[in-house]
Amino acid sequence: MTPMIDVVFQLLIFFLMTFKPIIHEGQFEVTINPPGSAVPQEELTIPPLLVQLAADESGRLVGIALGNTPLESMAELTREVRLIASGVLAEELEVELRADERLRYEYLVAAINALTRAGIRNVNFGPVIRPGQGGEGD
Amino acid sequence: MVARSERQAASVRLEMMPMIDVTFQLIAFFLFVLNFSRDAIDERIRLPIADQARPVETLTEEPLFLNIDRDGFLLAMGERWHVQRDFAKIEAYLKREAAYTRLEMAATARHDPTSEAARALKEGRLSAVVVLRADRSTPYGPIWRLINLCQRIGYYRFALRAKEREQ
Repeated sequence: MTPMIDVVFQLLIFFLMTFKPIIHEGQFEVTINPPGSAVPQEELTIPPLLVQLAADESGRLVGIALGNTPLESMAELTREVRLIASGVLAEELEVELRADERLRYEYLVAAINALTRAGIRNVNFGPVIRPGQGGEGD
Repeated sequence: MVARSERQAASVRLEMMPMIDVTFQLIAFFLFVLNFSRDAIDERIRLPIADQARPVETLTEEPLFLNIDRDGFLLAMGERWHVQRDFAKIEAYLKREAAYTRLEMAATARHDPTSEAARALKEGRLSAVVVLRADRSTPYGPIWRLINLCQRIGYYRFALRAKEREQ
């Protein structure tokens, strides 16, 4: 009996030492087609919405723009996109996201979160914005 | 007197069975909650918070995990690769992973010719999901370069990981 109890206790100690609580992770699913396979703009029934995110040197978000319209916050982005999406099917509406290459990932996810809240399922990544550029990247 | 205490000692018996029962139940519990797929998850990465993130579903094909730390380094194969400086190494690693994915897709396509894997294989694309686990402070530049590289290799399904709430 004693050797079995020894082994069982050792197993228990191993599991206790290696145990880590489960991290609840979620995800945003994004489909990005290879270059050249995108549907030409003129064939799209609804043109994609352009969302641009500007950053300062430290990577903090300093500006959000929907098309050419500057927005104050992510909540406003949700409101505006929801308004546009109310006229069409939100699932059909595509949003192209362009962000400054210095922008912290948390702000990019916050923008996707705001768009998801507005009912958008189709988010695409446009070219990065280089510092000093106004929306064009490589 | 001595004879009495010896008799008392002999009559005390330690009940082992309940303790063994509890111990086995504890082991069974830990075995159930043990997640073997956590190897691909790097604990050092602090994911961003997003309440709209959807729960992670079980996938048919093995996803490709890309863990990117706060400085924009890719953590893979036990190494830390700079996205620009070690671009050739990263490209070789991703191409190797893509080759494994193609083998897996070919096996799925043989079993089910109408599957997503079979369709993607015909089109020269990779149906495995690229799971992007980037730190909340990572600059977007390296992330975008990695997405671009994966896209060029043939991956088109991406999953951006986030935490549903702060823990």
